[in-house]
Amino acid sequence: MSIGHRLAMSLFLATAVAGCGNIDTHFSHVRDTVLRAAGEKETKTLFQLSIGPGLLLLGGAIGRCASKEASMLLDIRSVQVGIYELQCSGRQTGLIPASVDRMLARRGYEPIVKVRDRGQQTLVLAQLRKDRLKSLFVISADGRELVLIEVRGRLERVLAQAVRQRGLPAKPAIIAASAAEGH
Amino acid sequence: MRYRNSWALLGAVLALAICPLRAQDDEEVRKHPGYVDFSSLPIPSEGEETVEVYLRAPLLRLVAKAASEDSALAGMLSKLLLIRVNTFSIDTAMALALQPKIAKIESELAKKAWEKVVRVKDRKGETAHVYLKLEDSKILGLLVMAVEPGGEAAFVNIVGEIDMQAIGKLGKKFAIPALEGVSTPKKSK
Repeated sequence: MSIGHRLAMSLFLATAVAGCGNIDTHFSHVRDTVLRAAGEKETKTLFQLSIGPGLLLLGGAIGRCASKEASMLLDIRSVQVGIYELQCSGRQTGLIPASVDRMLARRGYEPIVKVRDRGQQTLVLAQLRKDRLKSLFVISADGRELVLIEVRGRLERVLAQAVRQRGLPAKPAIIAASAAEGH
Repeated sequence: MRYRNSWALLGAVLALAICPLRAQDDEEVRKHPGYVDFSSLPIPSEGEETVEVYLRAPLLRLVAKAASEDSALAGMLSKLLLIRVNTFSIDTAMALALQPKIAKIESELAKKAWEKVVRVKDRKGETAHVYLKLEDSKILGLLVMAVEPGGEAAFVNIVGEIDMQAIGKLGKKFAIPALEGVSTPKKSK
């Protein structure tokens, strides 16, 4: 393999994995606050993923050729997803404490939708700056699992696509809560 | 450590700079003639089913841009300051407890010259009230209060300039059934 090929391969790998790895401290603070409030002594991670700009850029660049939707990855700066085990399935309410709202409000997030449906709780928060949607944070807990999702970037185009496909912002959360009820 | 402290200090300064702006925004909405204060309502913080939607002007403007294919809906969304929805499950006792609170809100609305456009009460005890705030032939606020004993209570307040032709679409798009039946107002005395 020539030096040029090696260099290209190294550059490709560096770009692909840049930002991938552990969730950031702010995301883990939210996780720990919810888990502590639910009485969990340790974190049992079922799934955790953090994708940084490198891989998203790569995916967007490849996807741009395939479809318009995939090219929207270029607008996303980072994605963090975490699914954690909860052992309080008998508990009906108060899974997401109010301190999480306050913690995220200090970071510029404002709650837009809160749904509580027979032991399942979902909170959707948005961070806006001027006329830009900077990030979205979704927290959902049902007594068995805690799901956290944070998407950052320039999300206007993603929002536009979501509105066209699924309706306006409140609707997906309400649909999700109704779907959970069906399980 | 010194750098970490500097970042923390910078973060705190930025947070302090942003918070008064948001508080100012909220104050502006509260002073708007189309705003209705729900604080007297016994909205349960914990219950079987509750849905709270709180969409402020910046997000509504973004959604307006996103919904540009429907010009009437996008036009209306861009003029709105707030969409607030509270729905929660209620039993018969709670429905009874809600009635005096609703009556109190109604008397406040009457003092502020809100127009009652719909008032329905059926044999099962289901009630629905729709009020509009009109100024210079413009609708500046909408309030829907619907109570179904043993079912659900829904309170919807839309603040800003409202196009009644587009309000049904708004209900459909935002999954707010209480709005889907609201159409062009008929004056009632």
